Amino acid sequence: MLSLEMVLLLSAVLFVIGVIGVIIRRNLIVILMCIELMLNSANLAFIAFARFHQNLDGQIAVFFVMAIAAVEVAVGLALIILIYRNRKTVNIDDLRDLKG
Amino acid sequence: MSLFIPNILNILPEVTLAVFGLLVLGLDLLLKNKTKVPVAVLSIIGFFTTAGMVIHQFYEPAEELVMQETVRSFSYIGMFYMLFLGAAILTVFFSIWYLKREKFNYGEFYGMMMFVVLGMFVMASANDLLTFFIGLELMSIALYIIVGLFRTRKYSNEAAIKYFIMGSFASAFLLFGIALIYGITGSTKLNIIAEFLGNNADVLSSPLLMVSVILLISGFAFKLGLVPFHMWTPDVYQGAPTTLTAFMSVAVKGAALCVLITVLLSLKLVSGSWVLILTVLAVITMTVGNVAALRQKDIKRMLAYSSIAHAGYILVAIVALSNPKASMLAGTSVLFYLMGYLFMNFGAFTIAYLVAGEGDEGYDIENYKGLSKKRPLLAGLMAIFMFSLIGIPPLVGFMAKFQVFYAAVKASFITLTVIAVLNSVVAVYYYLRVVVTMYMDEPEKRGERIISPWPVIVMLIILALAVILFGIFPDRAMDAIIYSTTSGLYFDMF
Repeated sequence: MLSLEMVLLLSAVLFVIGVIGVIIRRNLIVILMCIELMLNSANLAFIAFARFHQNLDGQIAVFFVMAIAAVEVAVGLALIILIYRNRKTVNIDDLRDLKG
Repeated sequence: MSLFIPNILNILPEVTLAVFGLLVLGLDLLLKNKTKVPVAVLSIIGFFTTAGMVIHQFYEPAEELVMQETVRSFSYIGMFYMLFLGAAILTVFFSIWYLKREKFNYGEFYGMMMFVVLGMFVMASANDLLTFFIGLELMSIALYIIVGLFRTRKYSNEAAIKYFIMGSFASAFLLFGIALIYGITGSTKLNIIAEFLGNNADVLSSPLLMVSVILLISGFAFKLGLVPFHMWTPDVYQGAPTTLTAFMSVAVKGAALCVLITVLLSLKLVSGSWVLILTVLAVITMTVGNVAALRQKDIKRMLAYSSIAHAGYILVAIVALSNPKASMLAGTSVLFYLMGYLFMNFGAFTIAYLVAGEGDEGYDIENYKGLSKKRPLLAGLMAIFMFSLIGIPPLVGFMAKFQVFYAAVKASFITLTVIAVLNSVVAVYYYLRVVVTMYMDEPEKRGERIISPWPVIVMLIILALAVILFGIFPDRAMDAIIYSTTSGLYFDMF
């Protein structure tokens, strides 16, 4: 049986991997994947706490977050396709037109 | 079923908005011809109907917590609703001519605007952190779409993807913070969380709560564009359609502020070391925003940095919430500041898009050379808005700053107030530079003719009058806002 601490540790590690990925990776699609990783690590924490508290709030939260994550991916991929059509690149370092 | 029907009446403004949003999207599909004016008119009708519902709903709310305790019903939140609606109506109105001129006349813009406002309503009135998160995402995702509305333009694409990445990054921080708070307290409902923290004072200093609060505050700081989480703000504000930039700098920040106030109060964060953190955030936000605005050549970017500085001033009022003697005053001043900022910012951004001309490229401040000779009326209006943004009496910008600083002094944050006042002195330079360029410099060349449709000019004159009148006679607006802060005991709830 997994203890609460172990699951929380795993979710924290996943969250940190997601944060680091968003910061250091340059490919937009990989950045999108890292953001999904962050959302899913929060889901894991929700489920762990729901079991710990013996109530269903956390499990219901996970369904909402999954739906939101799907919407986010839909809009995000559409934007990435738009960028690729206009610039033929999905590297975030090439997006440097806006500066002051 | 009998349980659910009376409940739906408690969220009548939200329901109205959702219905109108779908109607607007449907009407856009039915219209084959090029003009999108009927779509825009329907969405403005929708906003006004919703405003009627909000007044009906919030003048004297019957219950405080409705919909299985997920929605809070307070007159104070109702005032925020009116602010969002005002900003949305102005945005849709000015966009009719702007989108037509830029030849990106998509009806989806108006439908998405309604869903943005719906998301703001849901997040501003949420009593459940999960409801708040869903409202926030509804607002943000609709915004990501319309920031990239000019889909063949590189600027608009870049702004949309940057906003998307930073926005969903911040949302993930907020979500993880919410998960941890749920873990500590066993509930996502703010009233239960407040009760739990009141009964278990020892939890307040636990490291897990610290981590969750830091995650939450950094999420909010991203959304509000506070330094050091402000990097996306100038880029997004510069690349987005100009009317939408005005909307984002007022209404989106207003929605985030409304939730920030609620969360800070219910998590008992307006005491001890958290006040210090908020104070530091306020000081660096004001200073960095003002100093960075000094060297901007693009007017949209300059106004973006200045909006960072304005968020810093509002944060001073949030800090003042910590003193129970001044909390009512601080709550009032936040709303009054946002209202004044709404008038002057929409004025400034609208003139910026008129001067930029077709193709949306003339945002350089150089373009304002000799504007007073070419278009004296536009230059005069711009000067009024700039003076108000500086905070020169008797304009509304002065009254707004005065209210905020008064609340801060009353809560005995003297040093913070002095820093804020010094900051507004720095701001004089970059706002006045626009006025000086308009009035002192000779027009360089016969540039493109500025096309200004008369309804836009009429609306700008109304905005300028509002800026002057609310500056001289602030009491009418203040009475309404004070009524909303005192009735329903919003600030006594926690």
